[in-house]
Amino acid sequence: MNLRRTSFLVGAMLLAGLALTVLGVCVGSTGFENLVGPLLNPQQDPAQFAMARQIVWEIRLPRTLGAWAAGALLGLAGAVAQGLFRNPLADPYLLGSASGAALGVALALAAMGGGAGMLGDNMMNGGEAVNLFSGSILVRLGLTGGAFVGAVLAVLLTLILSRGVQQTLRLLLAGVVVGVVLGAMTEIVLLLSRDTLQAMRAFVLGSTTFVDWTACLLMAGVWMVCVVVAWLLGRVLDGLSLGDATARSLGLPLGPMRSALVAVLALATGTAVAHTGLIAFVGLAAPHLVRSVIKTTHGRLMLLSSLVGGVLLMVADTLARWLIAPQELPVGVLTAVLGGGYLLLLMNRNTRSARGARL
Amino acid sequence: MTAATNSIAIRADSIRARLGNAEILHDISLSLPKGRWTSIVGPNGAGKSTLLKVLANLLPHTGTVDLLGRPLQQMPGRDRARQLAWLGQNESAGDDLMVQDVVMLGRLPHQPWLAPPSEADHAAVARALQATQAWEWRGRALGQLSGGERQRVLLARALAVEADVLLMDEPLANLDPPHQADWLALVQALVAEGKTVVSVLHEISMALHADEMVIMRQGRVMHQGACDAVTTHRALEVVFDKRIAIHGLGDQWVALPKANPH
Repeated sequence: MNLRRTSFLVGAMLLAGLALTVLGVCVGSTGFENLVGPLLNPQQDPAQFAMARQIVWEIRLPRTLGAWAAGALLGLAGAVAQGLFRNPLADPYLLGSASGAALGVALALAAMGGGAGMLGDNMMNGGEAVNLFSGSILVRLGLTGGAFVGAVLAVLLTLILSRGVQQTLRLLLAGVVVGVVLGAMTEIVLLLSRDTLQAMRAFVLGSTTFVDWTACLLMAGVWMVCVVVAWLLGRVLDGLSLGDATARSLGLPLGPMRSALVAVLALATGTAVAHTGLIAFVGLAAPHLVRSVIKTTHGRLMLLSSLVGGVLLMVADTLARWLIAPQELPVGVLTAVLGGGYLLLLMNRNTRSARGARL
Repeated sequence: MTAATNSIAIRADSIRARLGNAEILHDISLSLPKGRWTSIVGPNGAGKSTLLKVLANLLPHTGTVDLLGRPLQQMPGRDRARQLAWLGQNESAGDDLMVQDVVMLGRLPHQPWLAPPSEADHAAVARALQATQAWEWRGRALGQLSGGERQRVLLARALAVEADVLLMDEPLANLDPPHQADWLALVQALVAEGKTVVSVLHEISMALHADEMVIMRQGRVMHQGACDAVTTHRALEVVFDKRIAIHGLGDQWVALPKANPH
């Protein structure tokens, strides 16, 4: 019964992803009606055709699929974090990766001076100012690299402070400390280099504007590796959910397996953050959405959360481009509003059921 | 190997264990007989649960523990897990797992890495769920069960390992009297099959149903002996500061609290 339900959910999420891909290609500052004509009749106006092709193939398709990949990475990381920390309110950014990535981006922006200000301008133009987009490849490489290196270094710092992965509470506290300290350092960098504020804001709010095919493929590749490793380690999380001692009594080598899970968490989060900024709540909400529909093992939970995360971010991204078109909302704002509302609902439900249990 | 070592399931020698800076177990040596049920009792803070964890190699300690004649610390984790099942106190969380998935975790030590559960695994899970009368909840989430129902599922999880030695820490928590009686029958059946059961119990009357009793106080073993021996009963009364008295009732022993110790 559970297997049938899981298969149904996987199928539904893949179909939704496909439908949203088509929708994502259609929605944007240039309406669909202006793209269909030139694409169907290339001979009529070659210039129009080239532009339409560029918008669809080089901008909208990669960013739409990129939104799926980033959401899938965050959904997976969220399920891993919640299983690893045995806490349903854990999110992928717990180990300091978010603040590390933010500091990396702030430093990269400061190093590149005002040139990176383009990030902010482009955001507000709906992400389709092609010249600005292609002209800032070096800037983007610097930002993506800065974010990724920052995220990975922050997780390593957390691991050093917590002296390994054995004690979950220590790991969690170290993550909080690293988050606060790196956050403060980011503020100092921004204070010293005021030009970077605007671009930094775009990063903190999250955006899929800059996802090109390279980024898309990279995220998809990392996603595949992470999903396979997570699937293999699903049973470890099942065992861990009954407590460390029980898991160890079952002969599970917890140390290496926890390290592998932390690596998945760091890699998935770092890759997503590097390409799309700090998108809030997808990682937190996706596993909860899955759990509200089906109670299942961690292997399936992680896979489903990943698929749900992808669809969630695609929905948010499409809405972000459509709500105030031709202007565009930063997608992180939408996920924060939607996810925050959902979290509130969840807390309400938890409080009510806890009260019910006490009575 | 001598006949004496053949009849020992667990032998512990010079065990010391710490929690933080405090030493909880002070130089404990004991042998637990094979094919018997031994209960470990003692006042709160005596170190009973800590000792049980050490015997399962779940806590850092000094000294040696042999399981069925082999040094526990040198056994590969999966080997140990197949021979020794452990049921912890207040195993928490796992609320989102289905009952049958929880019990199937007990089969992990028997499954090759990545292999799906075999027919034998499914059969063992079914046996364990039926033995604890939890079969009908197999399709429900653990979080939807009451405390006692949950305890029976967790007991089934430990039974599903089908190990020769079973260590249980407060297995009667949350069980109502009829299910406590069922648990007694279950343990007696396991022992009849030749399995070794070691349980930490705070209810002395239940613990007195065992074959052997280990009585602890302040991190030391004060007495070990047969549950029906008068010396064991006297030792119990001493360890509990003469605040309890052991009485015979039909064919069993009961421990009753004494209002006035003198």
